[in-house]
Amino acid sequence: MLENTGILEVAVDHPRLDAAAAPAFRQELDGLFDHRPERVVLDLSHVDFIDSTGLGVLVSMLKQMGAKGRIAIVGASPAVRRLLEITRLDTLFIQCDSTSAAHDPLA
Amino acid sequence: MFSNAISKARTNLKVLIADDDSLTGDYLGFQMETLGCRATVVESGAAALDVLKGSEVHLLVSDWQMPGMDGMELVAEARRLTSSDSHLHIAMMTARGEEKVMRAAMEAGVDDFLYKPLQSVELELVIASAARNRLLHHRLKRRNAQLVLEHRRATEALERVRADLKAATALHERLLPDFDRSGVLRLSHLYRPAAILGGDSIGAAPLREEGLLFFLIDVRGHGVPAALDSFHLHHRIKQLRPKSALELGQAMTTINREICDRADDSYATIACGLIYPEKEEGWIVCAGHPPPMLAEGDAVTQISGGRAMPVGWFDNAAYTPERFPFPPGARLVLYSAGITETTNASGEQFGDKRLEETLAASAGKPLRQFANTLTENLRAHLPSRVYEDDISMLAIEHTSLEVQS
Repeated sequence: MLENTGILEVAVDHPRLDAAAAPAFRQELDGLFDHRPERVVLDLSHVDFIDSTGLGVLVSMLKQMGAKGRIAIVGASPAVRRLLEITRLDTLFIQCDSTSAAHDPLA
Repeated sequence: MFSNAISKARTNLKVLIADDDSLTGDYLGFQMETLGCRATVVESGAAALDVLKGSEVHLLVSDWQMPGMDGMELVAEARRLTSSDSHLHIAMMTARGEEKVMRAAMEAGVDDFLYKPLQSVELELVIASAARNRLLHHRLKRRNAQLVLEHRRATEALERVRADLKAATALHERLLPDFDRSGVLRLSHLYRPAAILGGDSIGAAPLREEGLLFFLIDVRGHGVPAALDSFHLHHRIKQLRPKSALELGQAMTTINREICDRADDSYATIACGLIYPEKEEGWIVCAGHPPPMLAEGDAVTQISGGRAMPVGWFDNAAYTPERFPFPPGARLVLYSAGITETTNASGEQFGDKRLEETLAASAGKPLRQFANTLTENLRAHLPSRVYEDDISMLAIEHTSLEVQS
């Protein structure tokens, strides 16, 4: 996980963002969100599976960022993309092919 | 602190001395009494065994060579007499000190040796050692008794929790549709929680106006908290009992706001709808729920159900029901993500496609058979049957007049 000027880049390295991994992930995010970032690029290229608990963490992350908060998701697998569609999160998260490509829509 | 305890233990130490030479035995007994012990002196191995059988002894001091039963035999018998969890410290008096002989004595159960002529310091050492072991044994015994009691209490508590869970499971299962037919509508379902209690809930309620309210709830997470939430949502939907498309949207909006008002992270995906068989149509809302499947013959399509957000995320979320045709012969299948996301050892999910194929292949066959085949196909996909998520499915069929008769 690294921070660039203005945009926080978060690479998720858990292959399964599920009930087992979610608490640790949430704790990592809490540490990173100390500076209340408004724009975040979330790299999910290493994530194969997200369950309801993992999805809940993504939503609470968005809520934590407030009304101005914007999240771009990079590298979502077809299964993750489908989950975002079913839950309508595709309307809240900007989906991009690469971290660099995510910077423009977030600007 | 510990040495004080040993001194105290030493004063209560019951010592049995076996020596065929009464002079040596009495002298030793006198020395023991001087050192604070309570001594009993006998002149043979057999007499020593009688004392051991009839009273508590902490330290046995035996002469090696005695007529009849010698010291080694007495030790072996004494060890046989005392149970494995009782304590008896044994010291052997001998003039000999060969390693081989001492090893044999050790194997027979001797803890200490006293060499003749006896020296007072050696005697004190044996008494201190016996007193220390007695104290430790006493503490261990008390601790064990405490552990046994705690274990019994924990087991009883566990049994109570198990009984409660069993009762809760029965209560949860009673929520499942208890009818397989409502007018011209036939129902079938699958329900298999991943834990003892699940966060999924299936419901159906006939409406007075010849219609059916139906739903499938999947609460975030598993286990007791998810089960309690799904139990509440199940009753809340039935309480709101929407009878029209408009009321259906309003009911979901109400439920969403109610969950959002709670100060926790819980949320649920819900597929909830109404079927009016006479009008040959239905309405459905999918709040973050996998899109239900609609089958007419072997043609299967997915219904987006107004694609809305799960309930409990954002209080301004909109829930607009979607209409779907439901002519005689049509089948509607609601399912939890646990079915399509059932993943086998190779990491392959059961997926929408297998579910669609199972539904298509069941065309013309009884609805119950579809549920059975789906169960078999899931088992074939995951032979271990260790499901990570709750499995639930509700199938509704508009029976044709022919089937009805």
